[in-house]
Amino acid sequence: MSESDMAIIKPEMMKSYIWLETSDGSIQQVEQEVAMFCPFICHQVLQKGAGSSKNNAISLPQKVNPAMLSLIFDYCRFHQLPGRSNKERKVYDEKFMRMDTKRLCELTSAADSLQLKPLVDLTSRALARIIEGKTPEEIREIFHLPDDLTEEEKLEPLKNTMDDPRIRLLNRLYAKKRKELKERAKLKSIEVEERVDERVDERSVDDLLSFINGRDHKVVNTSKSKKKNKKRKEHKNGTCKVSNKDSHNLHSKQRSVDETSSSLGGVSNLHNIEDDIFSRKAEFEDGFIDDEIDPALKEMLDREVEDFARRLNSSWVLSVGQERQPVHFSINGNGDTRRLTGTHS
Amino acid sequence: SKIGGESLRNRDPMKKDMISELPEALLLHILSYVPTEDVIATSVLSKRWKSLWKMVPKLEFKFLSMLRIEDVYRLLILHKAPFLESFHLKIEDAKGRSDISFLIGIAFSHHVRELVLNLCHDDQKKVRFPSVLCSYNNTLEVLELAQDVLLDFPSRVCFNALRELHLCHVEFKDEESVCNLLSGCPRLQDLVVERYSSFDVETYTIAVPSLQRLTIEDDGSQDMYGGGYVINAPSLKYLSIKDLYGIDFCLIENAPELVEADINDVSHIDNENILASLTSAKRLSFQFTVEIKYPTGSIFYQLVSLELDIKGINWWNLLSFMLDSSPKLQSLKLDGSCWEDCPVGWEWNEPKCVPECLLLHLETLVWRSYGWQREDEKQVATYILKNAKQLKKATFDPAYVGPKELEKLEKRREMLNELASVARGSTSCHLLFESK
Repeated sequence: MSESDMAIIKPEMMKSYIWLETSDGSIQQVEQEVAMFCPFICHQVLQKGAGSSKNNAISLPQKVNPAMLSLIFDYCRFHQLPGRSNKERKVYDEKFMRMDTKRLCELTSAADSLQLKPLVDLTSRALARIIEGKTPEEIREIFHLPDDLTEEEKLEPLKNTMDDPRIRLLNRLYAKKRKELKERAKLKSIEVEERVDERVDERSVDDLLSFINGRDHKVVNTSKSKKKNKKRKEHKNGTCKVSNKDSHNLHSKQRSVDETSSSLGGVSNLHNIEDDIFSRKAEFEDGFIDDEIDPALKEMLDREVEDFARRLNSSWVLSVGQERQPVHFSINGNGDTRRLTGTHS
Repeated sequence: SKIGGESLRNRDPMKKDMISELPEALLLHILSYVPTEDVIATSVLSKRWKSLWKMVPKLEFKFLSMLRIEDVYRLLILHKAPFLESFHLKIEDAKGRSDISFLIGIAFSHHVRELVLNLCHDDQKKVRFPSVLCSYNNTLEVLELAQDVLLDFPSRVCFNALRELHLCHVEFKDEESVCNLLSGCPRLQDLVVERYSSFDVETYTIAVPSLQRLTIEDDGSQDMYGGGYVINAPSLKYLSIKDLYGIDFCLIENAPELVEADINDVSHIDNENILASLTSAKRLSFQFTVEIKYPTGSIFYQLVSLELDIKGINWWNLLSFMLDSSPKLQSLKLDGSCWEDCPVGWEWNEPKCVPECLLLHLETLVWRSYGWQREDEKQVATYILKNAKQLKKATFDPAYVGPKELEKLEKRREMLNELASVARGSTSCHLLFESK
């Protein structure tokens, strides 16, 4: 509300209270400076001249019941005073947010209807903190969400994507990339073997597989140069939090063995478009492409690319839904050389 | 069975699903505060939530060693929000490197507003930022590039909306690339550069008419010497320069709008030019480790607050110069030395006339690590206390003495008492000794 608005109000209305009607029909009056802190109310007063008397009470949106209104006005009463320090406001906000989840949702809704953005942000952040880091089961439990998606529906977003031309394009790209890698491997097979990569030599194949899995961060973080260390130390977006992220990654550690079928159908035929994309890709290619791929990693890469089509339809979403359970790493016994399988039981 | 359970639950008013009823815009707002991995996981919660994640305009992949490049592709493609507020990609996996151009391209096609790319590969090979995407962009407002990124711009870019640019240890192909990037950002206001001097280019030219804030952090700990900076930013308000150890020059064109400048750990270069360019500043903070040249005739006509680190050589000369040249100075903060002895042959040449700021304006003096054992600091402190006629508060935080060193403690008490009994120029001056 601007200075000039206040100037208009003062001589004409000179009221210190504003009348409001909540969804249940009850009418109350609230100090003007407190109520005017809400843009919705402010707008009603200024544009429609409402709220000046009991008969002319402002009808509040449906989501604003008396309990919520009372809370909101507590908030407004505190914050509308200009003299408060930022620290004071922060302390108040933290205390204010201590309420059960149900109330929090109601309050968010009410604040949103009244367009009180600072409170909407505050409550939204509080709800976000509740959602963050929890498994779907936990979230459903807290918010009483219905578990109304079928297993198939949980996969659906990915299944339908096979119809998406862009996904098909990606399939082709990856098929081509894999081909290219194979060719390079043939050319370089001798060279590659001669190269000594100390990093690889240190690890067993299992370690390498874990590395690709993203499971074992310790493996990833070895062999850094001094320069690198310094950069990493200083850069804010620092290190991966290994321990708690392990249980919540989206990564298909638990790709179940057999997917749905439609996967392979996608790897198709339209070569002309593929070539087109590929030539455009060449433009982007930088001169620094890593073509010294050591043999073990290269094999992994091969298989990955091969799996891509299947993975598009994979159960990563399913695993996301059910995951956050300890990861089981095992080589699939049915002869499938796929290195990632997991169980989510 | 789930369904049965559900309707039972619905009958219980305490267990009503309150959150899913919120309007979609509000749900998206809430999700915008949730980390991306968790947002995507909400797609399995319930029907209502199934496709919400696709509309959340932030995709921030910070732990990419857990998620693969293919997954990022897929997620980007499935994403349906009309605008992408922010796209963050931190990649440590070298395998995904050649896909980065694509990913950036897809992000650009989603009208991304904020792009953060942090590439940190064990093999330290650089990824070239796709310059072909930079020839015409109207939506990108914030760009942060860190670590193994190569910037090669053979022609001028066009980032019409870019306000904020962070370049952290990225590599420019040549000086032309620096120029083509910076001159192609007509609305750039904030620039942060962290680099090792002369690592990629000799002369790093920052010529940006719209620039208001500039931070340069060079890294003196690496054994790199030479090169320098040329800064031409007529709208500059805030300047921060740190750690310019090994460089040869730092030329700053005049900055008439300057409000505040912090210059720390700068040495080995001709600093006369630096000081001379800062005369419009209201607040200054300096830390020079070697003696610098003083631009005679320069007056800091708006300077109200000055912070000086006085551990360098001949620091009192700098202090004298600044006091003489800053007629309106109100607040002076000094950071003293922990070393006990002042240099051999030290001489304090008292200014011929008491500086104007001491007579008319100086109200606050704060002296951290006050070297009570040192003759030089003692004399300067005494001089100020004697002559600052408007001084309201002087705080001395004396250099540390361990609680067991009784002799030293006694000596310190004596010195501080001596200081306290100096005849003060200002009768209302409140003298305080603090120990942190």
